[in-house]
Amino acid sequence: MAAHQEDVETLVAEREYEAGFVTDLESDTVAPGLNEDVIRFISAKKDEPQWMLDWRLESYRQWLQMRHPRWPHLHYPQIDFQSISYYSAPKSAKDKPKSLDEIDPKLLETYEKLGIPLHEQEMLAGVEGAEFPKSNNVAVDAVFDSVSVATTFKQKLADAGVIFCSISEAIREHPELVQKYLGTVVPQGDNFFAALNSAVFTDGSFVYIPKGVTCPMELSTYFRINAENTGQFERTLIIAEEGSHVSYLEGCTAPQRDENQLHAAVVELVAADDAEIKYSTVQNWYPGDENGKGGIYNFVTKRGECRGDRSKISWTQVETGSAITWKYPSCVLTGRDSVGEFYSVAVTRGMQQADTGTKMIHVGENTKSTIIAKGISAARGEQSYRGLVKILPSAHNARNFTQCDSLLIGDQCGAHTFPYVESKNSTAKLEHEATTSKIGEDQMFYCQQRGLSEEDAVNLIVNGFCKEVFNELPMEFAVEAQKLLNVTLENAVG
Amino acid sequence: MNDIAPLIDHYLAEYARVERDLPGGEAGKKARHVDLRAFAETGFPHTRMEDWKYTSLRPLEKRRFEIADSAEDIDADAIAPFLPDELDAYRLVLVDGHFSKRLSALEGLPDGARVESFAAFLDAEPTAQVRAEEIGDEPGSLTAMNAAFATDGAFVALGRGVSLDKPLHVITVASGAHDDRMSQIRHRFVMGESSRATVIEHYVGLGDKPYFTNAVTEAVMGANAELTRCRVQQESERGYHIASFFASQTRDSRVYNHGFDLGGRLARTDTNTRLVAENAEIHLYGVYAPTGRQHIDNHTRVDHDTEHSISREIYKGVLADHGRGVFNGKIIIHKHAQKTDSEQACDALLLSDKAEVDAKPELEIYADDVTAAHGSTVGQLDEDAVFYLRSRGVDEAGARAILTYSFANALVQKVGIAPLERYVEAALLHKLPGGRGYADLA
Repeated sequence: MAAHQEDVETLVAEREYEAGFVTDLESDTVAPGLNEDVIRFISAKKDEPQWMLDWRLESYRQWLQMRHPRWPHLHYPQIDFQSISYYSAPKSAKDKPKSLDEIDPKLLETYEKLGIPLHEQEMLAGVEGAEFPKSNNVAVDAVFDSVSVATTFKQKLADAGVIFCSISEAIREHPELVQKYLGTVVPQGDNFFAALNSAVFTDGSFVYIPKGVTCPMELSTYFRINAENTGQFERTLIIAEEGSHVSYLEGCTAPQRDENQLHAAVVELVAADDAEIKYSTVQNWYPGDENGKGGIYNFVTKRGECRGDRSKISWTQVETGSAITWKYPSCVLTGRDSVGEFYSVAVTRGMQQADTGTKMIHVGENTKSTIIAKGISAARGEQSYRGLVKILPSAHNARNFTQCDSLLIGDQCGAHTFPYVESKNSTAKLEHEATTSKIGEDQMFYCQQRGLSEEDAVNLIVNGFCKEVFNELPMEFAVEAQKLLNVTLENAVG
Repeated sequence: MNDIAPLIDHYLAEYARVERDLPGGEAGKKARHVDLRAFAETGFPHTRMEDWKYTSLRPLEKRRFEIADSAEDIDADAIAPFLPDELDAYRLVLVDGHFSKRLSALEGLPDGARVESFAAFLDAEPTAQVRAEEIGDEPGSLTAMNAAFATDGAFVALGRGVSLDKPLHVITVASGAHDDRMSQIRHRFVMGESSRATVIEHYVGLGDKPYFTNAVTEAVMGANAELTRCRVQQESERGYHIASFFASQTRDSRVYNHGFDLGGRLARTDTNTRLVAENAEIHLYGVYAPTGRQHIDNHTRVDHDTEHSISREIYKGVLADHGRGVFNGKIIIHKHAQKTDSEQACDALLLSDKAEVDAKPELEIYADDVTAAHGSTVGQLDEDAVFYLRSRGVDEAGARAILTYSFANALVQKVGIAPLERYVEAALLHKLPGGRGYADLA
């Protein structure tokens, strides 16, 4: 018991935020505040066509009618949306670099400090030098603040017919695709934060995989918040045409600062017949200090629609950062035999709060969904799993399996489960199970008795607890996720 | 939002009309005013409230219910079908919200046991109020409505070490003889240290007129007291049934709560308990079976507010036709409630494509050294099992009825009062599609 108590105390103890630094870049920033002129400014800055501006303005008008949601199990002060600057672009974006080697060296420095996974992976070793090894198989669309500053591997992807670019570029170059799909999975007025994003989104990624194509590499985007007082509003749209496959990786870190930053992203996925989209996230934004000062407010709307028969969408997330996380990556299973998956590890420490989970909406016949959610709560962290499994009358033979487990470390933290199950079809089968426990003293004793240190034992047990989710991550991310988790538990034994 | 003012006006006027006849002294009247105001401020709950997300009370709002002036003069034969065979019990009968001495049988109570009508209790104790002081917070505007309007109910007080030698069968009858009657029922069980009692709360509806029963039961559990509460709800198909239960459990006390929701057009139960001292134990078992166009909603809430307390919960739903079922089980383990041991399961059997079930087993946990698990399933009968029975010569409908029955039967068997178990089983089988031919199974 005493040993375990120490774990708890040291976990509570300070751990400096590894990625806490501010890169000094001259930003082209608009004054704080939000009104139609700001939206016109953003739209003009990005050379957007009229229809895009109209769409943004319509979203803004809807947003004005909406109320800030209060139902999550989260406590934070009222956000003043007029004190946020809605546009910030690095100066060097004026002459858009064509490849990573043209990038502002300070940005590369930033990435280097982060050490993940741009420089961590040998496949990316060529970034600093001029040449890329031919074997590279990760494409990076780096989002630095609000403008995509570099896109690599464009040619290789273009050869395969894959379009991978910033959403701003897509609006200019592929307006017919953007117009056809934007807002069809997450409508403008879907929720408060989605409406805000629709009005002011500054950048994000666009992916289009044509019929029958298996994307030749993993697609990866770096999101990073930099200039102070700017929220980041990404918009991501991924379209997988019939029979195509794509795996998309998203990772985030942010520098240390005191003011809370708002982040409200929207991600939309569309999968046609037999298409498969795998979307993986490692989120490690600044969580605030031990007393809850600072930290990112992360309000994300992520939703994928399996439109085609036999299509599949899989969400995997490792959430260790942010002061507030509000995020429910969801699947709408419209096509027959379509499959939705959600694998999540969420860690809350310090004063972090997370209200996260998923929604699986079964519309088509023989649709299947799997939910595995693992929550780890330490110190004064508060964590909630909030999920919905909904079976519509048309979803014959739908199947769902849900498992949510919580691990509590310390007696000041909280772990909550709010699973909603709604079934309107008598042929559907749904299972849900949840457990809550702490690291067992007998488990610790067993490991230590076999010669493991306390820290190794905690790592081993926690990694084992999360294994089902880590197994779903692409290899590059699995490495990072393990690292993040180990760092989190680094001082677990004093 | 539609205007609730005319609705509120109606109930304020109704209160003014009946106030003179309501039981209790001046202090009680004052408290009733407070509750009436609380109800008037919010009116009926609506579906935009999280706790009422799946249950709309619009049908209730459309009607203007009235308190009956006295018990309808019903025949003893009318309640005979609701008396389980061979059940030896004390009997307290309420008709349209009023105690019926003629139909009740309370002779031969053991020493130290006080069992009477709630109105008699309020009239006898000048300082008594509708709400028990020991329970504390009883949230909800319908609870407030009940506290304002409560006309009668059952009052049980057991002294230290007193055991009720026979179950107390409390039958709440809605006569259904007049349109839009409401019964505001208040039961209170005050369980002294080491006392024991079994109470059967039985709600039945006669006739074919729409009515509204709003019942609140309070249980004040002394140390080491044990209460077995069986709630059998067989309202008529025009009946609206709202029932709440609030218990406060101190050291070593045990509550076994069994619920069988079979009747009613719309039924909603809120079962709440607070475990405030160690080794308190709550068992919640419930079967709900909406068929036809019935809507049955079960909400439970267990507050583990002390170290070393125990909760066990199992709910099973059988849904057929256009039946709609809701289950919301909330378990809150408060900050200092270390060593809590809690389990919850809710299973639902969907027998029709038009039926719907909405389940939400919630956990809120603020302590680390606890065991808390919940499981939830929604599914249908095992086709292999159906085939097995058919290969043994049972027809299709019968096979399904037998399997459905056995799904729910596990909870019926937990009651531990054989005559009541047989009665509930028969009632359940009678309801199930194809089950009537197998009534002898029970």
